Amino acid sequence: MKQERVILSFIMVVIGLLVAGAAFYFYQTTKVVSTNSSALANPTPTESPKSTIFLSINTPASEEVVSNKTLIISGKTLPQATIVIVTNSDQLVVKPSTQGDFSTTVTLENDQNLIRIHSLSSNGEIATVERTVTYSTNSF
Amino acid sequence: MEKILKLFIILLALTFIKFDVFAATTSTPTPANIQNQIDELKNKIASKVAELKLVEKRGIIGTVTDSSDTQITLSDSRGGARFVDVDELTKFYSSDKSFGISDIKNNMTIGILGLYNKQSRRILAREVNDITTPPKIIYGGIGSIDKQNFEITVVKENGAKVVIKIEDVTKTYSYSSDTLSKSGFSKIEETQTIMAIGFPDKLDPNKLIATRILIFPQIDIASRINLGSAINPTIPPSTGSGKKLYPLTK
Repeated sequence: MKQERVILSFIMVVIGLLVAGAAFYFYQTTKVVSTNSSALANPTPTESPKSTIFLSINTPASEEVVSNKTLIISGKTLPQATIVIVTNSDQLVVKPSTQGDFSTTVTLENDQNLIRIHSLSSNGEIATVERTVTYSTNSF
Repeated sequence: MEKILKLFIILLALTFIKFDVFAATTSTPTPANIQNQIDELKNKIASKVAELKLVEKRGIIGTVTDSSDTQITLSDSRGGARFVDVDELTKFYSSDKSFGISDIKNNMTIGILGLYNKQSRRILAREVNDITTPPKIIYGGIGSIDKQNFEITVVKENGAKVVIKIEDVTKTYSYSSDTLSKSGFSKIEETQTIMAIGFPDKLDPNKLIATRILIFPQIDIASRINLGSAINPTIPPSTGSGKKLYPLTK
């Protein structure tokens, strides 16, 4: 009789564990994980009260190595801004589109080129981005 | 006892059968599920490929802060330290043909072309170029113009004043009506927005010898720039004895 009780208790514990395991399994398989992380990844930018000018460069990437002497510089800024691009030996002034996009080309010199891109707003504020671009046809 | 054991075995068998049935129903392939699985697999493959692409070609410019036979430490334009490894395959280029690792000294500006390891953040140099220091750019408002000495005092956003020295080689441009045109020193006026490009004077670090000047007559001086006393400074005439003569004020 005592042995039966022990076995019965053991069986009940096993059944209990199985039921708990099954419940956990169903919970895990039916759980919906939110994939909408955009709110975390792209927090709403808080505008600085001091400066409204911004400048982002799409191309070239920082420290890029290219095998073409003609380099496209593109990016985005304020539509009313004036873009000034200063290279080692040249300077360019371009106006962005009504959406603030701009794109122009510069001619690279051999080896490393330091390109400084400035965006000047009509009220004199400035935003600057630097890019080092290396012209090389050597393979390694 | 046997009954209980049989019951237990039946229950156990039923439980597992149930599990299989549910498992089968949950993993029933639907087009959406298959697409999700494909996307997941694609992402995993892409991330794995990205991990494997640890090394990429890069070119940097920096000022030497330390060097040894196998390593160069540079300070980049943002002031960050960059570590460059040099080996027997590294080539050195300069106007001096015998240029090598032993010629690299502190405060030199060099360009590095090599393989950047994303994990160690070090560059294995394949080419080391002795390059000229890039020009300095000063942006601000014109506070005063010294027409006799061909000098312009520029007030920067941080309030600092820099004297721009105009030389014969200085090229002056003016940007107005969406056109950048050649201009001259005589056309530069006080309170205009200016961008001067040049190299620091070795004798006076607060002076910039301009190679290029860009004037923006249609762009206002930034509100943060306080030209203040820089405009038309009243310089009292000297008596020659070191004392200054000040006008009498009522």
